[in-house]
Amino acid sequence: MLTFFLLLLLALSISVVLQRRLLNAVILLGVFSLTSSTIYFLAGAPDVAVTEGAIGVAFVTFIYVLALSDQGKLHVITEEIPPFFFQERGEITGIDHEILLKLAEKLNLDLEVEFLSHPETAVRFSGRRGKVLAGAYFSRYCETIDPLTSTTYHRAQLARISAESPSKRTGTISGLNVTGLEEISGDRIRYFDSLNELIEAYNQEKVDSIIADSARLRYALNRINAMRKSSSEITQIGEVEYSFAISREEPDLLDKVNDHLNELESNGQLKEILSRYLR
Amino acid sequence: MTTLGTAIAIITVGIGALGLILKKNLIMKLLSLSIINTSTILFFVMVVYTPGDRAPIGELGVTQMADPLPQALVLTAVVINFGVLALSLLFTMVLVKRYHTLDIQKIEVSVKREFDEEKL
Amino acid sequence: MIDLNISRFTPKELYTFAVVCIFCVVTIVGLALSSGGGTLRVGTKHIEGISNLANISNSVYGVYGMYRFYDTLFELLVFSTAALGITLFSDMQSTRGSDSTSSVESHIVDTSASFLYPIIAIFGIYLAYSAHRGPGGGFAGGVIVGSGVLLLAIAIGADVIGERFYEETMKKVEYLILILVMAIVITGLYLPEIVYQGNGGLGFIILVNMAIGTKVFIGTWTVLHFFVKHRGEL
Repeated sequence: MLTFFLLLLLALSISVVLQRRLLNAVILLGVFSLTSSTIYFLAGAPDVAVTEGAIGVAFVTFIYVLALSDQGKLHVITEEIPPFFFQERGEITGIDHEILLKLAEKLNLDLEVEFLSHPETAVRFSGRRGKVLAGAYFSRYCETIDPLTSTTYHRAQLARISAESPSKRTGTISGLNVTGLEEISGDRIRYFDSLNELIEAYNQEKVDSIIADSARLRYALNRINAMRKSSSEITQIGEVEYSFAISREEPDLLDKVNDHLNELESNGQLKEILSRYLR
Repeated sequence: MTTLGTAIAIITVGIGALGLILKKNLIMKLLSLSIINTSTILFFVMVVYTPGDRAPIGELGVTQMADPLPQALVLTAVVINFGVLALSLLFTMVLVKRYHTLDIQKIEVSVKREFDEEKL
Repeated sequence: MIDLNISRFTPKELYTFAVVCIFCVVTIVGLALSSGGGTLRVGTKHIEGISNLANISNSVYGVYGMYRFYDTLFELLVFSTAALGITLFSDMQSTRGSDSTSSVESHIVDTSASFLYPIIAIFGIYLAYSAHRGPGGGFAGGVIVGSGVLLLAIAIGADVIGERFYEETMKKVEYLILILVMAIVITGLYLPEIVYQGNGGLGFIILVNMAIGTKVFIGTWTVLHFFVKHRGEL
């Protein structure tokens, strides 16, 4: 009996040291302590067994778990933008999701996705919660929080949907502050908090054109009512580069994301993912 | 005299030492330290153990009993381990708050850079 | 899972591995050669001494309580120092705000905690109370009461528990207990027949054990409160 527990102890100690995920290692250390407590009991040391059981199994494990509760998770904040990040029949898919899922697998992390509305993303991201901001993100999209930006994985257009109209009132999403937007379009610009409000305003003819990047524009086009759609035309006014925003507090993660993107680029997987979603 | 118990305790100390030196993650280092602590206690308990010992409680000196002295010595060490662990986790928290990483090599590079900047 | 290609390791790793292997082999072989005839029994003298004391039937407690009390005393001091360090840092560091006080985790945890806590606490107090005649001791008892409070703190919230247990008063009591234990032990060194013999002696022994238990409980509570307050900061 004692022999069995001793050999189990040896195996557990090796597996703790070889673990790559911290939470697993902590739980295994708890089991290691429990096994050693059993050995003390069998070897005629019940005092030590009780103390080790109370401290090693219950307390130490719990304190590690409390301290590590954010470890082992890749917390992603995003807004719902097909085809970059969206839910389909209860399942999360999209270009960004596939890329991040591969990254999470490589880093041995759980992907934790939080869908928020457009203005909320910036607020929550500047707190400690989010590590990655995804969902058709491009630099200068959240100027106020100034995150670290990864390398580009896709280039897209900055475009305008406009209906023929003499009064040049243009709408865009707040935070979508691409350099010289006003110079490019030469219009009066109104900022909206969310894409839905913007589309609503366009449908009700409160604004005559929408400026957005092509991912958001593609989403918007589906929601514009038929009458406005038939009279709309799309013009390109610039270019944006999609990447991931990473919290300033995680410089390590930035390197990992960049390496991951370069690797996907070089083995052609990135192209494959993009072509699957952007037909 | 070596028994299986002492041999395994020594090997486990070795495994813990390997983890403590070679792992680069601070938390993994602390976990390895915990392994060394537990194995040391195990060594103390096993080194006086002969098969058939019963706990040194009750009528003393009548039957074959485990030696109480090493047990009494390591009993306090269990609580000390806990105190040391709590304090070192706190220092790890302070380091993470300042350097935003658990990797000991990156922390060393940052500390060295800060030191050089201070000297200039 | 494990790739045993030797060129994958750096020289430092191989060197460390070799040193550790040599350490293991030398220690095991040395131990095997050292005392061939039977196991060492260093504590036999202590067992004889303790069997003369009528109040004590747990010889492990006999050794650390009667013969080697300095171990216990300095252990208490080290534990106090650790708790003090955590208290100091806890005052210096700011918490993360609203995230740290997530109140009720789930009603199952809440209900089971309020049901289980009295049982755990009574068990812990029993272990501290009966340390002179059964397995347990002040350390184990204090930590077990502490883990009961841990359960409550997870269920109800650390700040509420901190108020309910009069945290500020507890921190002062901690050092009073240390002085009390020291006083009893030093008296026991010079007047052992008064302190440890007879029914009065039993009272002293139980008092010391309960004091150690309370001391360890307060220490664990300090540690616990810090880590519940700063959860998820690594």
